[in-house]
Amino acid sequence: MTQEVARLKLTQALKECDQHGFHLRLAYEEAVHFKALRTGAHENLSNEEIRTLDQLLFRFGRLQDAMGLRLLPSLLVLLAEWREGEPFLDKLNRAEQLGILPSAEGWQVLRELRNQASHDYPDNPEMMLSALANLIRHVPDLEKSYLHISQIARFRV
Amino acid sequence: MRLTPHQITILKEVGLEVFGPQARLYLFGSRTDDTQRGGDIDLYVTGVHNTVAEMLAGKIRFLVRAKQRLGERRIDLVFAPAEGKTQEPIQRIARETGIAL
Repeated sequence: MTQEVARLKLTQALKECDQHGFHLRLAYEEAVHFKALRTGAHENLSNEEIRTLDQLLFRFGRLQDAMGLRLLPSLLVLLAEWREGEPFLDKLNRAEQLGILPSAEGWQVLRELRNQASHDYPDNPEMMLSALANLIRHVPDLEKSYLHISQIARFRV
Repeated sequence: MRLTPHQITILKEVGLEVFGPQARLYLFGSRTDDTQRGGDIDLYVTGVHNTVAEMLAGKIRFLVRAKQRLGERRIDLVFAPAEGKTQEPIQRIARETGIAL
């Protein structure tokens, strides 16, 4: 019964992640061409480009949250590796040992990149652009990590 | 200051590893106040002279490693202003009230 519920949750989590991943990819493919991010000249960012960057940031965050809060937990339940009350960092490390997650440290790096890019730097646009450019460079890492987990997950649903 | 000697050691070790021996770490904000509870660990870093991109990369490395060793908690890190740059209010408060680790 518990396994059945976990399997359903896993299916839903995969669907949710796929959607976020799709919109993240669209935003990424546009954002890599933004001149302002290469030159650091923030005044050259158009309103449309800012909207795309908002989309990228939003979908990046939602994908990582869905992976960390729903996909990974249901997968651990299905593999009988879920431990109630275990700190999230320990879960990440165990997921790495089990081969589910490519790298726990890599995961934390993506998390900090997103925190830094979500931060508003009203007095420091140079820092803001740098944080966004940094995040964009790492979008393929998040995608790779998702591909890895989702391939394992799809065998279980 | 509300950091244990063990936490201070870890923060200094990670700071040395990421920013090198010329960098100094100062604690500021609510953790310097013994009458409060909990709160973010706010750190001020001096002696790091890099490009914005390098400083950001260093900040991320520092936060990831510090959290790996201290467990998940809120840590924030503010760099001293680069030469010729105006000091932001947070940098002024950090410089005036920070306690060296």
